Amino acid sequence: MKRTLKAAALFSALMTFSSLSGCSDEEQQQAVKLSKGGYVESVMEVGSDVFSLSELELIDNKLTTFDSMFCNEYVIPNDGSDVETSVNQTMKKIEPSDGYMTLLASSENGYFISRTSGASFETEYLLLSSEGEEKKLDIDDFIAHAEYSESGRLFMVGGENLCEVAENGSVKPLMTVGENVINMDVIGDNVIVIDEKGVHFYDIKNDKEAEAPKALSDFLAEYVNKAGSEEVRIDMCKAPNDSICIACSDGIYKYILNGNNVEQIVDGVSCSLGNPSLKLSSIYCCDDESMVVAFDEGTISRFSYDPEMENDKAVVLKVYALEKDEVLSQLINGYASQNRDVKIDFQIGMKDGTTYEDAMKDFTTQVLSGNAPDLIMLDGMDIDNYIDKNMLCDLSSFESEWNKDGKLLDNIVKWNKKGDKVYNVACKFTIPAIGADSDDLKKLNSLENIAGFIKDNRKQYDDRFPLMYFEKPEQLVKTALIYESGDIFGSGKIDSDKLEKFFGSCYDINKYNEKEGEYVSYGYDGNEMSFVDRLFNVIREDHTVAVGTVNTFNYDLNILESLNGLTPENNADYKFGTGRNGKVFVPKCNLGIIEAGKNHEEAEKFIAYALGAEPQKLAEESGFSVNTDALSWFYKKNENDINNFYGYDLTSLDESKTFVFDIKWITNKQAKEFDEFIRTLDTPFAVDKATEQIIVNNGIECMNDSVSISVAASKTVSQLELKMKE
Amino acid sequence: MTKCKTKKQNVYCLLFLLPSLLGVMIFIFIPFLDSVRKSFFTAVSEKFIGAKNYEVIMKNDAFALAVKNTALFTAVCIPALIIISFFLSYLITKIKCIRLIKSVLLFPLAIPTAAMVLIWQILFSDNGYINNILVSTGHGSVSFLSSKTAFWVLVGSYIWKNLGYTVILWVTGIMKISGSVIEAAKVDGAGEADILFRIIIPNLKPTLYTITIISFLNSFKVFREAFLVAGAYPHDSIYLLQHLFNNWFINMDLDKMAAAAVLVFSVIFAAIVLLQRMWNKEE
Amino acid sequence: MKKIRSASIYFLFAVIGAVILFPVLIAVILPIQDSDELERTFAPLAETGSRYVSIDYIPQYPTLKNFSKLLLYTPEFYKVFWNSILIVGSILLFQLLVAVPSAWAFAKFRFKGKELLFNLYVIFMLMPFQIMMLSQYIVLDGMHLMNTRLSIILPAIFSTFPVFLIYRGFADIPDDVADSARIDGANELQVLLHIGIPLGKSGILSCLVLSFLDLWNMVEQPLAFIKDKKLFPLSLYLPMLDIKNADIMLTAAIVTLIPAVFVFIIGQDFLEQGIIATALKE
Repeated sequence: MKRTLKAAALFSALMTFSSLSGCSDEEQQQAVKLSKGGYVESVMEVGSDVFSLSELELIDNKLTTFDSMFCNEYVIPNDGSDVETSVNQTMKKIEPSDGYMTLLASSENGYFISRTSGASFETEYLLLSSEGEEKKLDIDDFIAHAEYSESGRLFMVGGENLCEVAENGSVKPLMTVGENVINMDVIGDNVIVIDEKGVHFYDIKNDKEAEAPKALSDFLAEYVNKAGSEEVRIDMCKAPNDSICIACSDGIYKYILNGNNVEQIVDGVSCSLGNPSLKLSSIYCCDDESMVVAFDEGTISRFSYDPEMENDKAVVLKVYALEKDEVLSQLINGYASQNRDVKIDFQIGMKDGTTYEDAMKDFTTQVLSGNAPDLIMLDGMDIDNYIDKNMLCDLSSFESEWNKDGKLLDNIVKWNKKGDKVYNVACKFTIPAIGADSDDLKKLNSLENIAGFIKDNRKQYDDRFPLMYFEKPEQLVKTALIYESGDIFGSGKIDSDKLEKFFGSCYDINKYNEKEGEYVSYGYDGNEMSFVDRLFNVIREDHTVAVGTVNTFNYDLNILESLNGLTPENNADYKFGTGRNGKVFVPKCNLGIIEAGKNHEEAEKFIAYALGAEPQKLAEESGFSVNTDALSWFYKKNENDINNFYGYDLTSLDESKTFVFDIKWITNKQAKEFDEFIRTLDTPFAVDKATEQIIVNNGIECMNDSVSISVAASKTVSQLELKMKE
Repeated sequence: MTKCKTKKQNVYCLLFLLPSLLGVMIFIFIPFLDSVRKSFFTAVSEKFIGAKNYEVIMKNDAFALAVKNTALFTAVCIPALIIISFFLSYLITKIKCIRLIKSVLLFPLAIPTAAMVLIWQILFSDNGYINNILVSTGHGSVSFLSSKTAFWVLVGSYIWKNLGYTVILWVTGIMKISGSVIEAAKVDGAGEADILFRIIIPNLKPTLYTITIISFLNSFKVFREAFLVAGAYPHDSIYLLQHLFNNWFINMDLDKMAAAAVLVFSVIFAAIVLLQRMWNKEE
Repeated sequence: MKKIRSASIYFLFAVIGAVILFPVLIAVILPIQDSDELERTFAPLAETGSRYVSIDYIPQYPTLKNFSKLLLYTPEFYKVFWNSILIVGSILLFQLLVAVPSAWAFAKFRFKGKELLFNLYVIFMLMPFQIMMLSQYIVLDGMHLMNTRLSIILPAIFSTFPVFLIYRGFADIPDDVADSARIDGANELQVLLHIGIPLGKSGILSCLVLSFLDLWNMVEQPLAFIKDKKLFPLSLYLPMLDIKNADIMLTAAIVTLIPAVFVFIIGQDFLEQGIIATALKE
């Protein structure tokens, strides 16, 4: 009995302890959302020649930001008149003749600048006073973040330390921080540093490290976690009434110091902050409680409070996508900015590590319980299954709305036509291609050929370099599937022999791609490389091959078309298609309307918007547009502007050869050929995520040597057949 | 058994049952009736199609496979568990130190499924620990999780997990048998076997009923582990009914799922009624 | 002879115990291992190559680093732990309130349709969650309980599983005891409270233990009905971590285990007493 009592006591102690620490989080006060009153954005563009904007600072009582690349100074007046642009002579005077300069921090009294010489690639740091006096600093580490405090003290982050730079140029380390510092801000008496470990506070008045308030820490940590491997752009500034304003892609948030919660005051979805093509630079809170936000692209927005603004929007559009997609985010942001009376409820199924199965279960539950989304992006989903179940609306019934004057590439947009009915439309597309030296290219007509090519070449020319770039085995299988799925699934059923050959090819490519024992680091940052990035390997080295999809005009198609201009001459060449079939394309951002959704009307308007000329010019890196007006615009876009493209040097891995690229835009003739070509594309590639996962998982297992190729193939076949039987 | 003779007793009876009845009605019975209704309609567009769903699933190969596997699994595990646990519990009653053994046996039940899955992967995967031992002692490695042996791994996992509780139930049942009856039998010269077969086993019928039902219940729970280890489309031998339901749900085949649910329900219902008639003569 | 028999039985149990405990042993040892050793155990599972999993039984550098990492640096863990305690605690409490009278009614009264109703109860207990998931979702949505802890708590309170288990405990109580109380003038409620519950303790306790273990590991319901990560119970926290965080996962699993172990240590004591009491009654 005694023992039981002791155990019970311990147990209840544990419970109380956990409850105590758990409880405080429970009492999160939910800010009451007022029905009226919110912030209205007004956008100012300051010019197209902007490289990046520095932190917004109050200099001589005027809100100022700089573009250090061109030594331009932008002053934002309080009264709403236009931004004044001028050249900052002080900076211009110390501009290096070759190389470049970056303004790291600015203040009333001077600037903190890094200057990199074009010849030696060495970077020096210096303090520049407003009179033009230079003081070089003795700093070896790379400085990514720096800011002046209100009192004029300069703080910076370098070498895993937060340091202060004194006026005499000496650098004093104050606090250790992590390797990847995401942001540093000086707000009032505190320096806030966000790195991969979390949030650090440094009290500059008392010169010691302080504790970060929990609510703020939690909020920032959650946001950073959510971003995953994507670049995080976040900035904070001091706001009236002892609060801090935080700007990020989700919007603007306000945190009252020592408070319990972080409140959202501007929703990112319907303003520039949520626009995926704008990179946030900084935010500044003015005395009149309006906020100015600057973006690296040269856009500056002011958010002013309007007490009469209606918050409860009457119209709600529910949008669902399985995974985060840049095109869709861009379209939503654009649509919401244009239609301020519509509230867009954007839901991503597989966020925060949710698996495909769980996301689909959730989606099914929503649809069947009366909470169906209105608009859905069907990439990765089993579209035909939904069509069979009469879940999608027939979009051809209002085709005149979205296909105005026939300005769309019908072969691509309506790739999944069922007779006369169209249940989903593609908003973008990409094209697979194969790249190799022109003699080799002729022989590479299938994945098998490519695998054999790699295997033979590895044996014959066993040098260090990889013969084909791909990021990891998973990516290899996914990309390879684009090339072979027509063959594997061509007859309607799975061809098990072809599947085995497919795995065999993947296995060979994976094994013979690199010299055994060598591992070349590609500097891979987590994003999928484009075809052109992989093609660079073909240019630099002989006996190499590249596969992948061509996605866009800029630094993609135009590079392909410039291959002839390489010096010295090079045999690198490419061809569209999968080798077996030259007319394959990958439709992207497939939109559909769900029958059970409540708001068909708004969804229809969205689709019409998405396929319109102007929106089709956005998010250009994620696929070619399907609107012919937008395409024509692209064809001519930078026709005469060669400034944006400078010479490219590609040096082989053994450093014996260097090729110089003079990249131009595509010529009229090339544009015409491309245009004709894309109108002939007739073989779409669309495999749902479940099937893809089965193939990829088994592929990885056989490439790991966990199972033999034939076992992997037979497992895949039985799994896929089981799936089809259900 | 007190008959509800008096009105007062009737009232009390109803009162006692009421909260449970109400809750079961709202949260279980009505949802189930809705499922039954759904089995006669199409999934998303809700058109009445009568018994077509039943026709479809009867011809469905995946359903046949799942039913076969589930039935096989149940037919193998439950008797195995019952016999092994009974054997062990009988032995336990002969010795002391029961507490320690019971604690040991109960431990597996407390381990959360996710941790269990990780451990199974550590032990049984193709690169796993057991294969490590097998290979280093000269045998070939066995693909435990992706071949027919997966079925036996699952059976083993089931027995491992549920042995403890089942043994305790048996022991409880055995200990409840009046000591004096056994003493009397011993005095009459009955041997161990006699006592076992003539006294102990007949008195354990209600315990057997409980154990069968609970084992049956737990055999369904094995799905969670199978799913976490082998995914939505595991090897054919461990593709159970719940895998099918899970996948049907993901693909919005709610109509097929509802029809299958009704079928399964009816079969189990018949089995339970049969079981009760056979084993619960006491009531 | 008896001694040899006893010894061989002990031996058998020792072997069985070892086999049973082996996986548990791994679960306990691994969290105190250093990351290097853990890497040798887990890396072969996650990557390529034909390395095999190796387990160090005696950790070379035992460390509590993993525990501190979990308990101190992952704040979500506390939230999640508290959620589990709250959810499971309230469910158990109300389950008893609802199930005990019902089980008593089934055990001690006879009424029309009792067998049918009881069989239905049993079958409902056996139905896999997927079947009812959508319909329950609609019911809960209609009650505006979605994404709250109540959406899991309420349906679980009315689960028929406890009724079944407690019924077993009550069924064994001989009728004469209850009848004599009635003769003495007790009403039905008093009979239940003063006779039924004390004598049926073993059934109620075994129900509590099993129910607790079941609820503590509940995964499908919270996954389906709760979207807000802050409301997740502990059982969902574990699957969210995958092989890369395997060290945290096993550590979290141990910490998850602890309350369960407590429960049945405490429960065992009472169970023992219950059994002895019943036996003594004879």
